[in-house]
Amino acid sequence: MENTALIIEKVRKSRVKKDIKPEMIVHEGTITIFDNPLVKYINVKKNFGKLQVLKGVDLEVGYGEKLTIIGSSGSGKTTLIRMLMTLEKPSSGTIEIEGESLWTIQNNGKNLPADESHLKKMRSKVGMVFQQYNLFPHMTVLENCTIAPIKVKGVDPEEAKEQAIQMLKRVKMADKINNYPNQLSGGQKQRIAIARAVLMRPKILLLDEVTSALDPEMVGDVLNVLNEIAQEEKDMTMIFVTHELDFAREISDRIIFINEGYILEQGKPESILNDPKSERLQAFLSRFKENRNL
Amino acid sequence: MGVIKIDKILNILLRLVEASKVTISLTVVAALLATLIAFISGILLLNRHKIIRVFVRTYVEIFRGTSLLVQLYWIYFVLPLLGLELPKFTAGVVAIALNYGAYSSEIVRSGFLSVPKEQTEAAKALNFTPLQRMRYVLFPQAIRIMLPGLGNQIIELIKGTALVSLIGLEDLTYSGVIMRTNDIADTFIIFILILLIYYAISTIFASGFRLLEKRVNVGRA
Amino acid sequence: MWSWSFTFKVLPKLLSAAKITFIATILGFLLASFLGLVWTLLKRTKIHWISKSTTAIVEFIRRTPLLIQLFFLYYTLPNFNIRLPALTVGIIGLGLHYSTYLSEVYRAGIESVEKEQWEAAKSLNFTSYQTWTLVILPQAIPPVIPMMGNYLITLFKETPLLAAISVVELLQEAKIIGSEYFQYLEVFTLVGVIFFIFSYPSSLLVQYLEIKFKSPAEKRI
Repeated sequence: MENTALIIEKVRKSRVKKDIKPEMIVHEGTITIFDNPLVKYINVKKNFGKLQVLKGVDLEVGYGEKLTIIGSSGSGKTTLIRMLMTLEKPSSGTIEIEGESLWTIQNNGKNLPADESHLKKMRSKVGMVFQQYNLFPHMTVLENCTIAPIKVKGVDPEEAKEQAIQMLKRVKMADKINNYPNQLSGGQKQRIAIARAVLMRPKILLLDEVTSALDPEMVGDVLNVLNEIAQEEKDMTMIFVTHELDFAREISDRIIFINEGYILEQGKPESILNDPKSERLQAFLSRFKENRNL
Repeated sequence: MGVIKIDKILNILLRLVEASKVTISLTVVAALLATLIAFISGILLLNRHKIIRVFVRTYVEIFRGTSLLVQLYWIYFVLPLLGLELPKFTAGVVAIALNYGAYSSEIVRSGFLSVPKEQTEAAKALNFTPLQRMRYVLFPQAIRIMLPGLGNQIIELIKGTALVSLIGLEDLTYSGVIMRTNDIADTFIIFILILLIYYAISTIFASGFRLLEKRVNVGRA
Repeated sequence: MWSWSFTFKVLPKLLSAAKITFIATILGFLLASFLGLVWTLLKRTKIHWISKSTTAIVEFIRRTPLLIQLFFLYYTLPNFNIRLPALTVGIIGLGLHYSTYLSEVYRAGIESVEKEQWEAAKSLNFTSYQTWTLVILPQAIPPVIPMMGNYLITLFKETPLLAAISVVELLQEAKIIGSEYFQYLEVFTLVGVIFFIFSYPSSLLVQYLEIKFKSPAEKRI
């Protein structure tokens, strides 16, 4: 009888896997808290059905900061930034942009889910470049870049055209303004997608694995463009989700490592990439070194 | 509109259901014949000999290119002048079967085409006769693709049967028109009920087809 | 058997009636195209009761015979003090019935636009209206134009049903002439030919459009 009771206890304990939040490791000299953060995630959790993708993320991002998020697939990094672009809704927790909650509004002291007009107002501060470019196939390159400024921000069409051409020159796509996306290569399309997003002058630009779908020869061009933009747009916060570690090292002010739904480790690029402290990060980085030596 | 009496509605309903028998039997007979025609045509459209294909293709295009009503009138009014007089029910069956058979032949044809040619080659390699190939390999795979399309055609066929009322066959539609002349005020109820009965008939057939689809898809993702 | 002199005698009258057929076709199709889009958008709304009831009504109209719907409109509208000429009722009936088919066609087109396009529009902060008019519909409609063309042809072939509500279109005119002279062969054959002359080349045109309007996604290889 006793043995049975013990066995039942053991089985019960082993089934209830308590998800303990691992301790976050912050490298020396990393700024993780800001007086006036641009973006703030407060205990953000997200599950898709039974799958818990984000298990409680706390993060602050500063104005003009260039932040890179790394981690293995399924770690939740893409979900994290998609929530900022209002493409996914957090299951619990708060996301704030410039101190204002993104997904809730105050009404007579009560918290209500945000309606579309609030989301639209907040969304104007964020822009995104996607892995699959997502250009509009039925519009020319120029039209792709001018349509949103004209229709959403009310910019004068001539003005929008001027700005678009200037931007396209910066990404070295000025000669293709009258082409259609299906006539261009992946790298060219991605540069145009970057131009399209930047032209909306967002305060935060999200870049979701923007080189992962490209053939290796084109990756370099896109990364160069991103580098230039990062240098020139000092006030624009950029959050990268990427596997390009050399690029991350060059461009980032801070790198964050996400593992199984938590931020495990964060620090300045040199510090975190050369001297990873957690086992998981060490394993993750060594896999990259292996692939490089191949 | 006045007070709508329940027993009056029931009375109308009963007479309509009686008339639906004609509609249903017309549907079943025409559908069976149409399916037969569709399979024969569909298979012949894939025949080696160009002459056969052209001949069948001509039939298909003529019957798809002219409306069912025109075909019905032609068969009922014109054929007698050429020596062939058909009673209304038969004329209806023939016109409907030829018309929907033509549309369905396309479905049959593309169903067979969708089976990868490697399947036929494998069957040949196993030394199946053409008939065995059709029976054990081609047909079971092709029918999966064909069923949804054929199901849709049956629904269309049910709607098509309503046209026979225009050559005086006493189907559900015809009885509705007749009943109306007895009491104009009932028009609304009569036609709503007729619509509901047609809807019920098409739902029954549609469910039947869904069941067939499930059976045929056993063992597949 | 066949009298050419009779044929040429009646041809002008038939062609004049054909005008009615064409008016009914074009206007009916325009109404169907417009309503179809309305249904599709209503079916997609997040307001539950609107989308569910729209789906139910649209299904009901789609699966019941056009003939009954025409009778229904023609005979019951006067009860509500709406007196419209027969041709108008016919156009409304055709438009309403075919809008249900087109709604499905539009839905297929809209669903074929990749989900990422919606996200791209959102990332640029388009309003719902802008997303639909600038991004989604321009990509959804061109690939389904051939399908719409097919329904236009089908609608054209169903215009003879309007005769049942006393619209004297092409087939009805043929029937009248035929019974006047007791000569049906030429008139019905002519009607069949006229229908065929317009629908067969149109269906070839539709096949051509199918190739021309391949969706951008398919072009991008």
